Amino acid sequence: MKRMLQFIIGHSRVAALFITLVLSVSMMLMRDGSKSVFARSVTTGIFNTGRFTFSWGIYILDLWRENKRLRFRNLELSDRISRQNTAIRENERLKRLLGLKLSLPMSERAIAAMVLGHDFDRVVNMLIVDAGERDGVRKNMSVVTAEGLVGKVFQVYPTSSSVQIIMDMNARVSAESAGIRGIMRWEGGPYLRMFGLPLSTIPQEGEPVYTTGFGVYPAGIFVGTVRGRRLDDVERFASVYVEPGIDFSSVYEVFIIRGTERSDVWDDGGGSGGFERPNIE
Amino acid sequence: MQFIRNVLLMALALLVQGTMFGRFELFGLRPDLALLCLLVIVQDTGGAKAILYGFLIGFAQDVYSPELLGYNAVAMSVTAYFIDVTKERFTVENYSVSFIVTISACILHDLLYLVFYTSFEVPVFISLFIKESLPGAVYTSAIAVVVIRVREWLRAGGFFGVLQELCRTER
Repeated sequence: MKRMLQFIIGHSRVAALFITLVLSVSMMLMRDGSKSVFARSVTTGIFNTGRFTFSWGIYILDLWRENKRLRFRNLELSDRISRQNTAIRENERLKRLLGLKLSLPMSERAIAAMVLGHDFDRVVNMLIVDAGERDGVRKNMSVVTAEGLVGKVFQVYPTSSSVQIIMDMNARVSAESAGIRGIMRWEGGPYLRMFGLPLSTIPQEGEPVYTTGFGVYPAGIFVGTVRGRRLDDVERFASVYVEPGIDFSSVYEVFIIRGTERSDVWDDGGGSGGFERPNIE
Repeated sequence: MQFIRNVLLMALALLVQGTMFGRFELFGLRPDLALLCLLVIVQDTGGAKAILYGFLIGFAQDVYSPELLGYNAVAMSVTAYFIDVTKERFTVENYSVSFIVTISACILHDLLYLVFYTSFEVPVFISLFIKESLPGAVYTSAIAVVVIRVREWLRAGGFFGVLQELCRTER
């Protein structure tokens, strides 16, 4: 083998001639169809290589331009998607509101209002809405959304009102869950607390909570869902945590229900619902 | 680098042969630029490389005529071998010697090509050889001699070499 290699290296010219002759004769002896295929594959390969080799600069420049155009297009499309998503969410929200309005037994007396702002820094946690005395809003009217109870009208101005939400230290809601009645209030944190429940029977986790109709709010308005028992009870009554049905940070539209502004025993009786204080002797 | 230069030279020769060299027709005769290119390449290289270059040029010519695949490859390979063996004769001072050697290379190439092209049909072979090959070989050889001389002159310095010689003073 070594000798053969040495011979070939020593007679490289003759060896090269021999190899090229063998290759050429092999090509001559190929069938016509195979010749065409072989020739075509060689020319295609050479052209493609040459085309890429000499056009890569232009190709890269084209890629850069295309990339720049697509980046702008991507930005436009992202903005469009974002606006469309906002419109979809608003549409769904308004549909739910419309559904609520139509389903409410007092739907003819519901006043729609937009939330103008939130005020959580003062003594009372409030929402500001764009409906006021001129729209028929009165103090203590109940305020609801499709997701549930918001609160009650706290103060009325000519064209706007402030609404005390149920997640306020001073707010109280008479509520029931699974037939068990209690009083709900907010003591800080993400949940309301429903207390005054009998120790033997308390609502289970996941049970819905509704207003009873005793107190300021009319009966049957969804308030929230039971989320667990308060474990450090040492009182005579039990209490549970209730997750409100509404995310108060994302309330945009509300309904103020006319005729629900019942004067309550803590108020000065300024409501216009027509309820008289009982004469207790 | 030399390989790339030689490949580009071959590509250029084939390109010009296929496009512009119709303008240089003389009484219906055209020079063989591929052979001229091989002549120039073999001057710089030698040995096995020269034969491989010959095979490449011939193969490149055959690819455009698939039915004749291998014909030019054989002819060019053998011609490259012949040119390599007689390389020194191309650059001698005597123009006749270099002309004869060049025309021999052209005739060898055409002989081999025509043998396969005519499939050993003697009357056709002789007819083509006399009418096309011989006159074409003369034309190609004339150009080849000029090209080689110009190349040698450029290698020796060209115009700058001439100026240098003119300005040199003998001590």
